[in-house]
Amino acid sequence: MRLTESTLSKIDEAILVGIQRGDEAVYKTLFTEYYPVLTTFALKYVSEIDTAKEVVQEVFIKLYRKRESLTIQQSLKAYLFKAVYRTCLNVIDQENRRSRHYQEATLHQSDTEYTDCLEEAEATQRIYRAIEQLPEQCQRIFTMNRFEGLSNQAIADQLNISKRTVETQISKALKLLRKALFLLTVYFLLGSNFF
Amino acid sequence: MKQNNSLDPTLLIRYLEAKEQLSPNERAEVIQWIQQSPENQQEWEQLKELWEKSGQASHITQVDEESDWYKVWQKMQTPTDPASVRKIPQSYRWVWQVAAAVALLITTIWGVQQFNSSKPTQSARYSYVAQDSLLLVNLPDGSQAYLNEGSELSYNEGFGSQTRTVQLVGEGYFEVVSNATIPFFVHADSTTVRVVGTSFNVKQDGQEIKVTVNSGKVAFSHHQDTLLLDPDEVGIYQPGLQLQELKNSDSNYLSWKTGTLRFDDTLFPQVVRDIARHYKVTVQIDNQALRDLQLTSTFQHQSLATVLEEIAIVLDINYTYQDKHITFFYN
Repeated sequence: MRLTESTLSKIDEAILVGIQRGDEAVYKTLFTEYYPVLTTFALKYVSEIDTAKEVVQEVFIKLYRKRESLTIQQSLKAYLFKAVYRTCLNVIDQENRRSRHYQEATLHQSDTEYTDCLEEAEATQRIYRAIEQLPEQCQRIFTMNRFEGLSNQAIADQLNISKRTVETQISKALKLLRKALFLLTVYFLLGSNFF
Repeated sequence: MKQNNSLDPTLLIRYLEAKEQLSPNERAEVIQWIQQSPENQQEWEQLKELWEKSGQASHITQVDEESDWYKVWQKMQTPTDPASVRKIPQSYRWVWQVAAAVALLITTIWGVQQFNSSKPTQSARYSYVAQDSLLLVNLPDGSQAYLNEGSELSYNEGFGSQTRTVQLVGEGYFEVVSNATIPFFVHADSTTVRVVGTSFNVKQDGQEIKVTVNSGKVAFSHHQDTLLLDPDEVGIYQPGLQLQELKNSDSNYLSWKTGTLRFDDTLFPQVVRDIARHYKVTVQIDNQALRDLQLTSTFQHQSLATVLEEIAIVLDINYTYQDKHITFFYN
């Protein structure tokens, strides 16, 4: 493995040593940390969630197999996102392999589009994590609406509570999410440098 | 400015969920609150963003990093190079057997947990059937699909947030809102149409599937075979054949949606085919000489009787109409 830039953070360097050694704990930490956000990111390019998951798994398996000859520029995070992006393009290309319009049909993004997709995936992941932190009842009602697509009336009927209670809980959920995500932006910007 | 009139928070939630269901007074109350101060404006925008983006996070419930980690680690340990397979000394075999048994147990527990936890979040499927009239389906991302009679369109919950995938049976015309980050997929039988933002028609006719592009570019695929279609090009799938790309010669392919039949020096056999398709009738031409006639005329939302009458007068021919069957003939 070769580190090409000195901009790698100390944490990245420590992790890279673990990667090179094939340390199971390091791989597990990386995988659990990045699997959901990378899957979200892969879904920008492929349509099926199972395909997206397979792409990300393949990236990790390749990382492990190539660990000794690996070159990482920038950061580990940048490496993983780029690898997922390339693998997605391969999947699309394979689908288009016999096409007479091979060149045009291949999806290549500008740097800005790529960065937008990456940031969107990260934002989605942050919201998901924040939803997981909501108080139990509040979380349940909020996810019934936002994840399962139930109307507030349907939630009220199912939980045998008033529609107004449902609306109050959703309002509470949004306020807590806003507190966690918008009013702590500085914290998240700092935090994102670590990986 | 600091003195904000407070707003019932549940009203804001009802506004987010379905503002069209509020009374004009309630809507005005919300809008007034938003416009009351820059702080309110900012709060509203953040709440709205959270509301929309949280819907996009639903697929993460289907990502189980714990149980998938186990699968991935197993694969990492599977050597790709046969030379690197090491022989395990006989005396340590039991260690591996115990480890395998433990692993199996853990997988089972994870499996059960995953099964249980996936139940409440099982996603719904929405289906629209155009029974005996056209149906306009407003998709959650703002795209529109017009379904021809007897056609069916379905999509899974979460459409528009992380994916834009619909399943079509029959015929549909799509106007797809542009979104470079989430491509739009139409699955019709074993074919797939992939677009970013455009309008196009997909028609399933028996086993044949025809995609006609109105604007933009679409990729039409069947397994590994892909056509990239431009406006006024048609992609045709027929079982067992390569996809075919043709120029669109059918100027009335959207008549089912627009209600308009336009003929411009069109040869009579083509006129007859378009009429038969549009009015769902069968047509017969009794005299070979009729085949050389040409028609220039536009019919907008006309009854079949009116259309037949006009054609008869303009071309100076006769017809009979009985049991959904038309016969044209010379006097």
